[in-house]
Amino acid sequence: MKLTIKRIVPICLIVALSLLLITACGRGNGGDETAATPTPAADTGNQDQQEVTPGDDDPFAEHVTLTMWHTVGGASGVQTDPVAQYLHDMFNITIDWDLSASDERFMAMLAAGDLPDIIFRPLTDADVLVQGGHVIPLDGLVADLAPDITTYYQPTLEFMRNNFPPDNDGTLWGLPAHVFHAPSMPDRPWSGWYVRWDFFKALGYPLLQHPNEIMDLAEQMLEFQPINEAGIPFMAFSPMAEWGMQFMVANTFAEFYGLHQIGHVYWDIETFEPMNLFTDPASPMWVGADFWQQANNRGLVDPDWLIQSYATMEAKHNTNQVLISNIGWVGNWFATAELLAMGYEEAGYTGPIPVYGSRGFRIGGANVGGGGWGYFITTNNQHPERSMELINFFYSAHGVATLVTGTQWTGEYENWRWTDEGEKYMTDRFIDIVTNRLDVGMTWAEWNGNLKYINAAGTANSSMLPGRNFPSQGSDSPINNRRVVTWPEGDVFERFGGANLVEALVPPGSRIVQNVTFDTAVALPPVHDWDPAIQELYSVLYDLLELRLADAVLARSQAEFEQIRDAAIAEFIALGSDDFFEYVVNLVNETRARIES
Amino acid sequence: MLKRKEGWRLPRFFSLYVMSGICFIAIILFNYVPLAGWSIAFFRYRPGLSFAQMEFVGFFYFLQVFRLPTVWNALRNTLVMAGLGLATSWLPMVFAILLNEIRSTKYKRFIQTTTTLPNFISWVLVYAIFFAMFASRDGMVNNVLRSLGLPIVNPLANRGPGQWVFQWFVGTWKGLGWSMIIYLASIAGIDQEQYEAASIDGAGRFAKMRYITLPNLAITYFTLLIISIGWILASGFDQYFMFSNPMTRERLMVLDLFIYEQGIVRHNFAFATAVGMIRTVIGLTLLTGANLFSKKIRGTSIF
Repeated sequence: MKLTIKRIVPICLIVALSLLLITACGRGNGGDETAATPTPAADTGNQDQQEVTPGDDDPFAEHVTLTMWHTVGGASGVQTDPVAQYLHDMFNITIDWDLSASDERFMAMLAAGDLPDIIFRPLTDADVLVQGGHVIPLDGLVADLAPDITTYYQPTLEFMRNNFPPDNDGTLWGLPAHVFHAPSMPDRPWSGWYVRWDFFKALGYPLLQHPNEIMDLAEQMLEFQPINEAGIPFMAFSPMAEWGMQFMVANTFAEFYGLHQIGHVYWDIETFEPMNLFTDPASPMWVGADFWQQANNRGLVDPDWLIQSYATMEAKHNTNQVLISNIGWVGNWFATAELLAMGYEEAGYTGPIPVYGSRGFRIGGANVGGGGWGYFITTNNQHPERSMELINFFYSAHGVATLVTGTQWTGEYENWRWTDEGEKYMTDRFIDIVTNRLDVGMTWAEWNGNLKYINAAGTANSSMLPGRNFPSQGSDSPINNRRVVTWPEGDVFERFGGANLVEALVPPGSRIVQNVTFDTAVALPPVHDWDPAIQELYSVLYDLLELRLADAVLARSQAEFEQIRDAAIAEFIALGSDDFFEYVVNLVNETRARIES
Repeated sequence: MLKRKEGWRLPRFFSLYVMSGICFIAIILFNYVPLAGWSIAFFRYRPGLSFAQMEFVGFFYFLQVFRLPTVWNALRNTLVMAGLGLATSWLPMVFAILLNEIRSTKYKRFIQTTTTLPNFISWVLVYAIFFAMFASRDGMVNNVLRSLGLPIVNPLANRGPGQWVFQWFVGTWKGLGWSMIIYLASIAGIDQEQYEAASIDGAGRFAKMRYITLPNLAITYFTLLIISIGWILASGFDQYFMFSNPMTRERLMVLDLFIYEQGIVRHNFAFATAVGMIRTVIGLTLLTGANLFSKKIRGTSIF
């Protein structure tokens, strides 16, 4: 065969395509065109072993791009919004946030050892990250480059050294985020009865003696105004089961009864007594299922509740069709703003409305925060020093305020100033905006990075800033204790008084607690690290529970519900739920003992 | 006599060898090399650790497959859906034959386009369409039924065996036009002289369909049937993932969805791999069996 142009061209094309294929299959270098030769510390990351050389006179002279695995909330604009720009200008660092951070992808990257420079993961991952040699020790970096962390987070660092991984030798491998130094304003429980406050007000603010009395209140609301402005009948409840039946039925009642689910067992937040969620008829699982079957049989529930998606449910709340939500964030913020946009100036959701005897008001863990996630620097990172300087900012007062509230509203010094004593205070302009301008507030949240970066902050948004007498979330300031962001919240203060919404809404006899349950939950090994036989049992029980809860909430009568529940409990016992319970109780108690020691 | 010029020359069909070689390498890379990943089914697998750091558990997860009641439920659902698909696998062929008989080219194209279009709609949108139609509260169909004083229907919440039929219907609605294309292509490839000869012999339209079109399409049909038998335990994921809810979960938990839930959601990768391996081995056995059967009965096979 002669080698002619006609033949040479396709051959060259094929060779080029082959090279492209090989290149595409090859591993990337993290995409940092400016990545320089690692400094000595980059080899180990441990300053105890080698001296850190942060750089020349100007440590930020070299621009670097750091890839970061972080489930920032709402990826839109996260690479270019003012917060990202602010971080870029301050550190000469471009953060390449992973905008589609899913657990599935992370597992694939972990298996391939192709991790980004900085990862934000559950702290329980420390075990495999350390064993697999994927992360570097942080002791030296923190000591030399993280003054805020060393100053304000010592207990947290000790907690990490002692517990992550469980058999740790005292090395610091990760940094937990959302730490509660001191509560600025306790969070309201996210699950409870969040109601259309205008209806609630019109009915005279009836206080409930029992969570189930919400059904009577719902009927009164529907009687008070049965249809909306479009002639569509209101629904009392429109929950969704897209996130599983357990999520839908149990959380509200766990909050009411002061129970915390750790390892698929309920624990009393004060006595730490365990409760078998599968077999105890008093567990929130069955109490919640009972509630929903009653509400369903009374015609109070959206008939599409079990087949609708989260988005559909949210849309119904946002279009003035639903009166009560058991998920706080659904009605509390966006649906209220939508109502305002529709012209309802004195309408909206808030809550949870007071229920006598409920024990749900509590705040997160003191050491690691409720989320249980934290930062790790991977061995792929070519700039561990720069990474640590950036991470330290996330834990500083300035950084936390920026990530939680956004740059425009915390940006020095348009909206806040420092006093001579080092305390921060808000300008009148800022107070005016957060008090009176909901529309601006929404824009602020969407545009300025707030809500996107809130999970990236080292300090919880309901905590005081580290080392400052000032809350992370500026609008929670003591200056503005009676934060009024929405009309319903303003009316809460009018009716119930109180220094903040939790104090206003906490029912008589209830109290706010903070204890080790959060820390225990965070430190507990995840199910996939349990004994394989127990994992198998968990799988069987969990799958059956989803089916039986669906059966239970669709029961046509109380008698039928009880029959389904009792039969299901018998099934669970026969399958070995007691063995599962015993295993988890021991595991949780061991974990608790470990973290308390 | 001129002497032929000697020199180095590329082998004959060199370009073709190179092109096919790339495909061959791609197949090896993406279809065979990943089979090495099956080894995780024999370990207590944790992503991020080396095999030396993981506990070898032998056939633990394979035995677990046969212990879990949910596996049998998933197998039942998969076989039912595959059975429905196989039992009606002739539909695209018949549809293609009927469509081919339409004289009006415009009408034919309109039908072909409208029936093919659903194939390009994602399952997310398909679910949204069916939800908009059948939602109990304000679904389009149910609004009409309600206005007529008739009882509403909501197949999305059907907990009975009817859910399987509904899913088959949705799948057929989405895929019928697309599946028909291969038969239309086969029809186009039939020698027109056969039809002309049949016409001379006095054959009518139905006779030509029966004695010419159908036998010519049978080869394609049986080839596709044999291949689909190999995929009998791989019923797909997207459709069942979208339509699965607490009401339908028991009927729609097919093996692919089960593997996703176990492997990805619950991080039980080793178990999910074991299920996948068993599924592959069964699929391969069925494919080989069907091929042998076809060879013996019809004298033709795909390999």
